Amino acid sequence: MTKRGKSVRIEGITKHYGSARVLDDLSIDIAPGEFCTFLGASGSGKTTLLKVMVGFEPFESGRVSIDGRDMCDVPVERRNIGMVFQNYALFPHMNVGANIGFGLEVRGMAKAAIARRVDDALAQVGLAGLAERPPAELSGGQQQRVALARALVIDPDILVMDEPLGALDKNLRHAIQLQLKQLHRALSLTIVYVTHDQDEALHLSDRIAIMDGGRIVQQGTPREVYFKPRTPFVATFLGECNIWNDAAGPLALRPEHVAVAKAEGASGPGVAVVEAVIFLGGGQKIVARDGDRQVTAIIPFPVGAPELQIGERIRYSYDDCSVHRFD
Amino acid sequence: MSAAVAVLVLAPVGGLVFFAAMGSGDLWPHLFANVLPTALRTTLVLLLGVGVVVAVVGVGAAWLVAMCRFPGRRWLEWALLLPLSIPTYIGAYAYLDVLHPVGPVQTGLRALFGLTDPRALWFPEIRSLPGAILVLGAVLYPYVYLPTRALFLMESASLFDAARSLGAGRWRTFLRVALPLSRPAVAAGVSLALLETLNDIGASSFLGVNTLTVSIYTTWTARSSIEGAAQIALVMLVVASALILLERRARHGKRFAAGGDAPPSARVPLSGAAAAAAAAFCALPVFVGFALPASYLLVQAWRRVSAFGLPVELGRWIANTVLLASIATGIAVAIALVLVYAARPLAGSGGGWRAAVPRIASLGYAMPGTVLAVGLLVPVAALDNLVDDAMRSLFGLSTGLLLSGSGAAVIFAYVLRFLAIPIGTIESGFAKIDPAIELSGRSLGAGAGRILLRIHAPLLRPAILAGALLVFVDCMKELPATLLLRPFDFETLATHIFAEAARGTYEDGAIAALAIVAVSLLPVAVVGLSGRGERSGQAFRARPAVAVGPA
Ligand SMILES: Nc1ncnc2c1ncn2[C@@H]1O[C@H](COP(=O)(O)OP(=O)(O)OP(=O)(O)O)[C@@H](O)[C@H]1O
Ligand SMILES: [Mg+2]
Repeated sequence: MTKRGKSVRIEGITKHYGSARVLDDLSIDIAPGEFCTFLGASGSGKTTLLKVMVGFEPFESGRVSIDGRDMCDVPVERRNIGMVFQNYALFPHMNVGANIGFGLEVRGMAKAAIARRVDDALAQVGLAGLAERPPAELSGGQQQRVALARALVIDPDILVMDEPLGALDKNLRHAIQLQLKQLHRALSLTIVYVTHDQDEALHLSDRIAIMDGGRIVQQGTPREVYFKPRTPFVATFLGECNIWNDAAGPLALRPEHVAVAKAEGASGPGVAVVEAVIFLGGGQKIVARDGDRQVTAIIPFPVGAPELQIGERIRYSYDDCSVHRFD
Repeated sequence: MSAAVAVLVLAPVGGLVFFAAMGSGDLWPHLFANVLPTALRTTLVLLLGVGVVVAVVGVGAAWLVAMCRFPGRRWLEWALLLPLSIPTYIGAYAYLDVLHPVGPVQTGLRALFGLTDPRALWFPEIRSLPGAILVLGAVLYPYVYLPTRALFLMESASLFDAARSLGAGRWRTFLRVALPLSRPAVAAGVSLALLETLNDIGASSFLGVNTLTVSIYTTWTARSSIEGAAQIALVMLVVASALILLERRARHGKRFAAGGDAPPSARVPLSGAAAAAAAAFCALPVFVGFALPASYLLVQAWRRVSAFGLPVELGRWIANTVLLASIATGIAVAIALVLVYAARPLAGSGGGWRAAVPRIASLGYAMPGTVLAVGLLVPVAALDNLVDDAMRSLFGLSTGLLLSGSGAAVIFAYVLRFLAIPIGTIESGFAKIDPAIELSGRSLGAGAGRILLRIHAPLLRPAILAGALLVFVDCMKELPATLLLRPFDFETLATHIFAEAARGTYEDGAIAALAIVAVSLLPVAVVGLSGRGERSGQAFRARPAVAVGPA
């Protein structure tokens, strides 16, 4: 499996459900082998975009091309797109092996070859030996990996995943994220991924596209969108962010870039009163107030030093180069 | 109360066994040699034929309407429910006349070919087993269509998407994914349709098909052998039980829930010939099962009214029908409410056996009307005699046949036969009420009575109304039990149609038939309207689930 994934180009897609505009003149280019994540609030149109891309939903205007070819006349079943559904959508009347082999069967592969490929695929996702089980007897994480194996075994040009880890607990999610990342690298797959978990998006993606109201409001590498948000919406959507106004206009500052020191009795600019101290495990979050400015800082947990108390005065400071201005 | 209901439901079976055992035995050799084998074989062939027709039409139409886009789809999706409003005996009644050698179809065809002799044109005989299979299939397929369509729309949508993304085309998705998935729904629907077939007395006797039901009727009325009728009825009970066991088996362990209720993707557009074929496949059952018989009834009724005015007795038939049906509905709904309420998980101590009572009480749905009637005759007659004797010895006056003479026996039969319906709707209504609501009510200090009145009753109202509507309509349409248990000279709309058909005076029955169809359209309209959203058929879906018991 040395072939590379294919490119996807979405141009000016507009789609309505009834009178509601769900996708609004949306365009994006996804390069071959890229891991591209769509991130957005519930109802922002992520699933609809995937369905348009895969061919499940018609749209009023725009174009979807894969590997430079217009998909308008190509039905879903001939697009060779592997898809992992949010609820996994495993066929409940087939065992795990038959589920994974279904796509190969459709492609007319011989039984023996299918069995071999199924075993390989199961091994690849760490489920060797489970081929005979019905899906209902698997744990959520195992079902998820069967769904992944089923989509991968057809050697898809593109792998599309709609919140595939949403139903799993945190540890499992992290384990599968690692596996996914490795698979992506090993197979140089083009992966189109949807999530509303911002950490997941930051961990996995080559590129993140932030969606709001059926549009992409910003796209770029995880670092770009995290440190150079173009709007306050993007800044607050991707992790916590202080949004303040000063003489030069609005600015964004990540809480981990705010330093805090005790400042008993002090007053004036740069001094705030602590309103909450939140234990984060790896550190602590301080929420304080300086006039009409809410200051959020994430700082290390003090070892040996006295803890900050509510009502205490602090002096906060930050490096000018970590301040981000919207353009 | 719960125990009493359970006993009452089982009473007819006891009655059957009693009568059958009492049989002197002189009729038995005759029955066994001449009547039973043919009647049983005819019934089995009829069941098989109807089963195949309703499965093919029901599943096919459900798939097309749920998954494909073609001209007229929206309209047909709803119209496919319409045959539910045509009782089997009315369907047969209409076709008998429409396809008669001097009826409109054959006359029209002869005119088309320029023939004059009625025998010159060969035309398939409607009064035959295949004819009965077609007529019954055409009006009973919605029992399969409705649950299967709901399954395709709600529970399996993402599975079809998955199959397509893996490269499966329409046909393969249908054969490999949809068909196996729909098996439980199809099994439930087919078994309901077959129970209706078994129950049917009108269509088979009009069409000259001697089923078990028809033999019971003739053995009772023509040979006046209640013992013989009971013996045949026992055979029928065995067939009904076998049906239910088969259905259980077909469903066994196969309740697939795909989970997640993501909206289904857009339907696959069909073009050209495929679209035309799909539209025709869905339009044909609507035409055969509803449009043609209904318009026939309209024309006939109009002719009759314009020639002679309304029949003078129409008012009395309607009054009789409505009276019996509404009393039975009230009793059935009240009993169902109590049973279901007592069986709910929170009812507390001793809940174990109470939870089983609604299941037992629902068994009546599987008992064909004739079987129920024969079985009820023993307990009813015994009670009548008991009361009569007591009154005579105490007050020296005879009360006569109190129960069987007053129509109470008919009501009793209705309640037993249709109790499953309000139990089903009310149970599914209860299932939608979060038990935490009751707990919070209790924690606020409300007692059981107050909780039922103030919390459950208002929340259950739609379910109760749906159940009441369905029972009422089913009672109104009921023919076999009414026919056998009604007081002397007492006519309802249904028995009147039967009598007219038996006499061969079809036009005269058309008005009554039209009245029944019009009322039967009510629940269909309710299902159709609620079906505007994707979650249609709640009321009707409750019925299959109950009639065939818990999964
Ligand atoms: N089949 C449908 N019919 C009508 N409206 C729909 C349909 N599917 C989605 N919508 C609407 O389109 C909008 C976008 O839905 P979509 O499922 O794409 O959101 P999403 O970003 O995937 O949200 P989530 O994170 O909750 O999955 C929503 O307002 C939704 O209500
Ligand atoms: Mg979604």
